[in-house]
Order: sequence, then structure tokens, then C-alpha cells
Amino acid sequence: MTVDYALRRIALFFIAVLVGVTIVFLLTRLAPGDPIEAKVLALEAQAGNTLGNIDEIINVYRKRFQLDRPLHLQYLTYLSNVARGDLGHSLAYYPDRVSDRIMRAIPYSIGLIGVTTVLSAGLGLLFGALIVWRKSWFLLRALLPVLMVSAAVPFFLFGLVLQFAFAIHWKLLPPSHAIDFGFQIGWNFETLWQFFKHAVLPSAAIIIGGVALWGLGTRALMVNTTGEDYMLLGEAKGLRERRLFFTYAIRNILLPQTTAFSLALAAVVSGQVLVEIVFSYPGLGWHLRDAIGGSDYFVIQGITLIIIIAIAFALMVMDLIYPLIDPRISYKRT
Amino acid sequence: MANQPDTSQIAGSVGSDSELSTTEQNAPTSLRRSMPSLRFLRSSRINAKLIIGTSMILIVVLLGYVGPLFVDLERGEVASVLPDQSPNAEHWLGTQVEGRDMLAWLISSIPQTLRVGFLAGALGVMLGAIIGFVAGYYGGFVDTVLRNFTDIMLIIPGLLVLVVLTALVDVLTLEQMAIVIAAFAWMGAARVIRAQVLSLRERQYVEVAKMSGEKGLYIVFFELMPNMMPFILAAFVGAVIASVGTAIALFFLGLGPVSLNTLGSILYWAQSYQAVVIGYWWWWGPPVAILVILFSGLFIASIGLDEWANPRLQERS
Repeated sequence: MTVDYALRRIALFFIAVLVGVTIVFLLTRLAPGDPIEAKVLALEAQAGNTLGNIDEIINVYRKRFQLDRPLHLQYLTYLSNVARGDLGHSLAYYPDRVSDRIMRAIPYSIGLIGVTTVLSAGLGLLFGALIVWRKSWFLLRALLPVLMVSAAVPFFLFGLVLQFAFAIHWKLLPPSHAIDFGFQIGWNFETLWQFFKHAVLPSAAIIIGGVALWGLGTRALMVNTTGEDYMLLGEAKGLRERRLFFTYAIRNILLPQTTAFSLALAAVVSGQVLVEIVFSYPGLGWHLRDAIGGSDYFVIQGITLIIIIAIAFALMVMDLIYPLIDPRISYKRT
Repeated sequence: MANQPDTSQIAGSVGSDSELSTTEQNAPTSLRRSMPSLRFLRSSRINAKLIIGTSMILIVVLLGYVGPLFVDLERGEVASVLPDQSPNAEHWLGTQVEGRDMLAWLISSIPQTLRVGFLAGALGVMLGAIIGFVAGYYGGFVDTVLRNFTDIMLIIPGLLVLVVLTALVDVLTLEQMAIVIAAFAWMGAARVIRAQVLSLRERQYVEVAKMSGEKGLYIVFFELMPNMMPFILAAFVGAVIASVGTAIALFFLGLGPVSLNTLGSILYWAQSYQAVVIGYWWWWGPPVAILVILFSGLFIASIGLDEWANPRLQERS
């Protein structure tokens, strides 16, 4: 049964990726406007109309990017290219490959989302549960409106405020980039400090929103959990408060909250993209902004595809490890 | 879409609970055709969250639609006032580097922002309602396909796909933009409404309608729809939050109709001119403040609507 579940889940991953890739392909091919033509015309304008036969150049470019073939053949080529990880060349940084530019950005984005997800989940679960816990400090219980406001607001708006307050006004932290300009990276403490210092503000912007999202969800579940019989029994048995809170309440909330998070993952990633732009943090989001500025369509597409695939993959892995973290789940066919 | 909080998840997973409002069980048993029930309008509970949220939205709406009566919007155009002034008696919110009066620019941006958000939200909830109704009512294979499609669309980051589209097409109007945003804002509504239809379609009054020979579509629109209005309203507000977030994000990225004034494009120009770094807090601060009020208001109202639609979500303690 479990193998069957795993296979179906893996199939769903491929279908999800296929749907995403197809949407992106159709949008770029069916939309009016021609990236190649626009690019060549821009180049020509830069060169001061001295390029010569424009049409011929455009045709050469089209052949190079295979835009002169029928749509269904383009689609098949496109699919096989994506499957092989070949996302084409950057138009603005030709002959750089799109995949090279993405690989350069990925460590920053993964680092940022990894750290912020772990911290948001930990703090969010704690706050959300403590708000309902009747023995909490009264000020903590008054945090609910704060959570509601921060859950609703896009991350990058916090980013602007944090950047102004901590980097410009009080000058405590660097306002942008991942390291200081001209800093030599090496295996030493200074490098670590550089990376840490520059990551604090972008992370904080995401964590404020993330904690609120996790916190509100946890709170809603906690309201129900505190009314459960097993909580009453635990209390009657005279269990210590801490054990009741962490082992009885939080543990039962963890899984539904993880599910809620997986539904919100796409939104969280989109939010992070904008935060990276605010802080010029050199992850995928910042490269995306750069590509938009330079009309670099293949990079825009490539980044979008990579993020779609990464999210689908992360969710598949999460679904596959659920049975390992929660013994209550057994994958019987319903 | 920036972060789009899925309120149905936050308020306690409305979607998965298939046996919700048990009070609806007392349906008319006579064969007389039941009138579309407008019971949702007569709810006696005054929901504080709904009132607070709506008031916050109203503040922003008033600023955008009544503000122009008091402020000359032409001062928000480029080079219409003296540039680089901090807030003073003449310019309450100062002016920025291109000689735009911030207050006038801000006020003229609000209606466009609201229009694209609410239009996309309305279209999104309509699409979601149709998909949710069809999936829930017909069930079987149709349901399996639509449910899986909804789940797949939910994990595709709509904002990024829209970036791909809007980066190619730079002649989108506000309305076209609303349509494409709506194409990625319907999933929450579809999930909630499908779950509701599943729990409602076995009710007696639906049986009665079927026995009296009503067609599927009639039952959907005149028997099921009225009972679902609170859920549809909550889903609508959820879709508006997602749509405003996406629209703001696209404008902030410098995409979409660039000549339009929106809160997102004010922030785009602020980012382009490094307004935060050069210390022009009056440039980025007020739009951020207005967006915080708007998003919080929408979010609090949607939690209120969720609780109203589904009384079980109200606090037990």
C-alpha cells in the first residue's frame, strides 16, 4: 500500500511540473510580442543603427532559439530541454547559460528560505499555542491582533520598514547585498560574520510574516486541542505543565500545521522573491528583477520554472516523509 | 501575490470539514418549493472582527474616492511641484525627486489599486465557485480531475507565472491585468465551495428539489447557492487579498501598465530611486502604511466572515 501511495505521489509531482511548464510555455509563445525582435531592436538602438540587415539577424536568432518551428514541435523540444536541465541562454548576458545564472543564485535563496522556514515554524508554533494557553503571561495573550496584522501584510513591506529603521536610521546592519562590496570570501570567521550580518534583515522581514501565519493557524488548532479529553486526562493525572504543553498539545498540532504550510509554500516563495529585491539579496528574486529590467526572457522563464519544480519537489518530499513523522497516518486507499 | 494568507486554513481548515453547519439540517420537508433562503442576512451575532475589518477597508476607500475632492490631483504629476521637500504645511507628505506631491500621488493611486484587486477577486471567486460547484455536485471522475487540478494550481506560484506573461506583454490594461490575476486567484474559493457543496447536496431539500423534477443547474443556483453565500463572501475577500497582493507585487516589479498610478508603482519608483537609502521616508512610508491598513482590514474581515459562515470556528474558551 505504501509503495502504491509513493508511486501515485511521485506521479502527481510530474503532473504538477508538466502543468506548470505547459502554462509557462503557452504564455510565452501565445502572447503577442516577440522577445527576439525586441532584443535585437534594442541592440540596434544601442549600436546606433549600424547593425545592417535587421531581418536577417532576427532570423538567425530565431533559428538559434528555435522559434521558427511549428508550435507542437517547439513544445516537445521545450519539454525535453527542460527535462535535461537546459534552459537556454541568457539574452542579456549571452553566451551565459540560464542554468549557470540560476545555480549562482540558488544557494542564497535556499539558505534564506531554509533558515526563515525553520525559525517561523518554531516561533509560530510557540507563540500561537501560548496565546491560547491559559497560564500564559497576559501580554503574550494580547499578541493576537499583532499576529493578525502581520499575517496579512506582504513580506516586502516589512522589508522596506526594517531596511529604513535598522540599516539607514540606526545604521546597525548593512542595507543590502549578501556581502560588503570588494570583500574577499574565505574560510574564516569574517566571511561567516559578513554573510550573517547581511542576511539578518531579509530573514527578519520573512520571519515576521511567517511567524504570524504559523501562529494564527496554530492558535486556531490549539483552541480545539485544549478542549480535547486527552488534555483533561493529562491534567488530571497531574502531568507537569511543560509536558502537557509540548508533548500533548504541540505534537498534535504539528502535522496539520505542516499541511497548512505546504499549501502556503508557493505564496511564501513569491514573498521571498520580493524581499530579495528590496535588499538586493543575490538570490533568484534579485536575478528575476535584473532579468525583467533587461528584458531577459529566458532567464525570467528559467527562474519561474526552477521555482515551480522546486516547490513541487519539496511538497512531494514532505508528503513522502509524513508517515515517518506521524504514526497515525497509514496510506490506505479511500 | 506576495504572501497570500489562506484564511480558510488559518481559521481552522474549513475545506476539509465536510459536516459543517448542522443547523441547516431542518430543511422544509413538504414538497412545496423552498424559496432561496436569505437566512445569512439575518444573522444575529454582531461580529466584531467583521466590523473592524470593514472599517479599515472603508478608511482606505474613503481616502481614495473622497480625497480627490480636497486635494488637487494634478500636483501628483511629474514636475508639477518643487522636488525634494520633506513634509511641510504646503505639502503634507512632502514631494519626491521628480517633483510630485506625495499626498496627491498617493490619493490618485488608491482607486486603481482597489479596482484591480476587487475586480480580480470577483472574477476569481466566480471561477472558483463554478469549479467548486461542478466538482462537488457532479462528483466522480469530474471531481477527481478538478480537485487535482485545483491542488496543482495551488502549488504553482501565480505571481511568477504572471511575471513571465507581463514581462512579454507591456500593453495590458488594468482590466486585462485583473483577468490574468484572477486566473491564479480562484483555488481557495474552489476548495471551500466544493467542500460545502459536498456537505449540502445530500440534504433533504435538495432531494425534494430533485424529486420535483428540477434540473441540476437550477438546483445549484437556486437551492445550493443561497445557502453558501457566507462562504462565497469569505472566499471573495480571500481572493481579493490574493489579487491585491499579486497586483502590488507586479507593479512593484515594474510590470503591468507602467503609466498607471498604483500603490505598487509608487513603491517601484521609490525602489528605483533608492528612496529608503536616501532617507525619503515620506515617499515609501505612506503607501506602506495604507497597504498595511488595507491588507489587515481585508484579512480581519475575512476571518470575521469565516466565523460568521461557520459558527463552530468561534472561540470555545
